Amino acid sequence: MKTDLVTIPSGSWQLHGVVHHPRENSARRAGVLILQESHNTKFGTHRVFLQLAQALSQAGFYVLRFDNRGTCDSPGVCDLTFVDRLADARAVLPFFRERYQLDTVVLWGLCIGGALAVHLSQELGGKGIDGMVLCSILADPSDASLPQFGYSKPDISHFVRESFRRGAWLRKLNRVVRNFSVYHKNLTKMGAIWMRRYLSPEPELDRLRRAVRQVGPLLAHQELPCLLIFGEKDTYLSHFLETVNPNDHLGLARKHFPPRMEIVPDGDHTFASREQTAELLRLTLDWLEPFQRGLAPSRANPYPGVEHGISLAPTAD
Amino acid sequence: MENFYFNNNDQRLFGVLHRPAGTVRTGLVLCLPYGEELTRSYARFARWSKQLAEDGIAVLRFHYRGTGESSGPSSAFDLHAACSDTLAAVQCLRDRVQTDQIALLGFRFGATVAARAAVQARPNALLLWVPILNSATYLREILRLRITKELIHQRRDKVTITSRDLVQQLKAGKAVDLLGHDLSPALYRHLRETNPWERPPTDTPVLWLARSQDPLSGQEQAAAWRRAGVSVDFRAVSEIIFWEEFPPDLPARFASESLAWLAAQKAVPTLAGGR
Repeated sequence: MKTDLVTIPSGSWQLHGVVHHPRENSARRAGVLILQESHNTKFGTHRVFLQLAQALSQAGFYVLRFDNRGTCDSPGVCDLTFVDRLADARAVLPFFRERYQLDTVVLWGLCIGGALAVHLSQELGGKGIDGMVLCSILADPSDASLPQFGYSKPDISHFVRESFRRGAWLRKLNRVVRNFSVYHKNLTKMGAIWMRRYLSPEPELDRLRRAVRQVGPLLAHQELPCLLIFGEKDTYLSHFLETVNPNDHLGLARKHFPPRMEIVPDGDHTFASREQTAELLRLTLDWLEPFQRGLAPSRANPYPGVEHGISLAPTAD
Repeated sequence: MENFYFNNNDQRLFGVLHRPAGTVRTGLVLCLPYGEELTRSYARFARWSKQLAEDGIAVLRFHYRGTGESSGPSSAFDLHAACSDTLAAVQCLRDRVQTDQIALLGFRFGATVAARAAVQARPNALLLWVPILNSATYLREILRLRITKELIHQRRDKVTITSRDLVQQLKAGKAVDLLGHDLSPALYRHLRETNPWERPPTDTPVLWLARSQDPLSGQEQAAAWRRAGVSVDFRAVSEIIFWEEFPPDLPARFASESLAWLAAQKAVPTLAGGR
C-alpha cells in the first residue's frame, strides 16, 4: 500500500513522518494520528505502530506516524519535553487533516501519547478531533518518568511504596534476602537512578507529572468518543482504576458519551506479543469502523459503573 | 538530513542519510542491532549520527528488511538477509555521497552483520562495537527475554513454556514470538550453524572495541583475525551497556576511540575535541 514520507513544520522544527494511504478510498476520508510512547520511534517496539498503521490503512484509513522534533529521524537535536510533544501534535494535526482533506481525524495514543491526546483535545476544545483511542494511558503522575532514568520510577518513596503495597512485607523481605544475587543487579541500577535523580534536579519530571495529573480531570470534561485500552497485566490499569479514578469519582460512566474500556487478556504495557498485538488491532479497528461511515462508535460495553445517560449523537447502534 | 526508501532487489529498505553541509571526507554506514536492542538504542544513535554530520562524516542509518520502517514481516530478518541489505546500503551511500572513503560500523548483532558484509563490501574501515561472538549464548539470552517477561506478568506456576520449547519450535520450522516480533527459524539456523567470524575481511583495517568489564571480550577472535592477515586494532575500554535503556547515553568512550582511529586511518580530518 502507498506510503508518503512527509516533512511537517512545527514552529522552527521540521518533523519527519510517514503517511499510509487507505487500500481503497471510501466515501468518507478518515484518518488516524498516532502519538507514540516514550521509546519515541515512530515504528515502535516490535513495530507495533507500523503494524497498526498497516492494519488501519488496509481497513480504509489514512494513518500518520511521526518523530518528534529533534529526535530519531526528525532533523535536529532536542531534549524533548511534554510541552514540545504537545506543540508537535498541535502542528501535525492540521497538517494531516488539510494535506489529505480528511473528514474525520481520530487520535490514537499509547502511554504518554494518550496523555498528549487528552491534553491536545482540551487545548483545541475538541475541534479538529473526532475521537480518541487511549492505550495504556499515562494518567498517574507517579508513573511518569524520563529517559535519563531509563523510564524507571526514580523516587525512593515510590519504590518503597510499590514494593510493600498490599502487605506481605515479611515475605517480600525474605525473598529479597534469599535471592539477593538476582536483586543485586537491579538494586545497583536503581541506586544509580536515584543518585542521578537526587543529585541533579530534573524540573522536567515535575512539569511532566503536573501534566499527567491533569489527564484524569481532562478526560472527565471532554466529550469526544473515547476508547480506553489496557493490558490486563499492566500496572497502569490498576493505577488508573485505583489511583486516578477510584470508584469512578471522575464520573466517566455518567458522561453523555462514556468512554468504552477494553482489557487485553494477559496484555502488558506495550502489548508485546503476537496475540496481544492482534487483539489490540482488532479492538482498535472494531471501534474505529463507524467513523468511516460518519458515525460515532457504539456505546455497548461502556466504562464500567453507573448507567450512562442518553446521548444525542447518532451512533452505529 | 534525508529520509528515503531504497531497494535491495524486491525489498524496500528505509534509510536516513545525515549529509554534512560541506565536504564529505568519509561515509559511514551504521549496522544496527536486532530486536529490543534496536529500539532501545535507536534514538541515541540517531542523535550521534546528526553530530557526526556536523563534523563532516556522512552517516547512513538504515533498517534491515523486517525491521523498523523497511518492508517485510519481522520473520524476514536473518543474518544472510541483513548482510545483503547492508551491501545494498553501502552501495546506496556510494551512489548518494561523493566520497571514496566508506566505513562500516556495527554494534552487537549489527557488528556480526557488518563483519560478514565487509568481506564483500570491502569498506575502507570496519568498526566493531561489542560484537556477538557466542551465538548460542546470545540466542539463549534473547529467548530468555520471552520467558522472563512471562514470569514477570504471570504467576510462576502459570508459565509453562521453557527455552527448550522455543528451540524445539524453531527446529520444527516455526517462528517464535519474541516480545511481539518473530524470531525466524532461518535466523536461528544462522545463529547456530554459521560462524560469521570464520571469513575475515582481509582487505579492511578493523577497530574492535570491547567492554573491559566483559570477561569474554573477543580478544581471542581478534587475535585469530590478526593471524589470518587482518589489520585488527583490539581495544578493551570501560563503557556503559549502551544497548539497554538506562542510562540513555551514547557510549562516549567508544565514540571518541572510533573517531580518533578513523582520523588516524586518514579517513577523516582530525576532529577538534573528538566526540
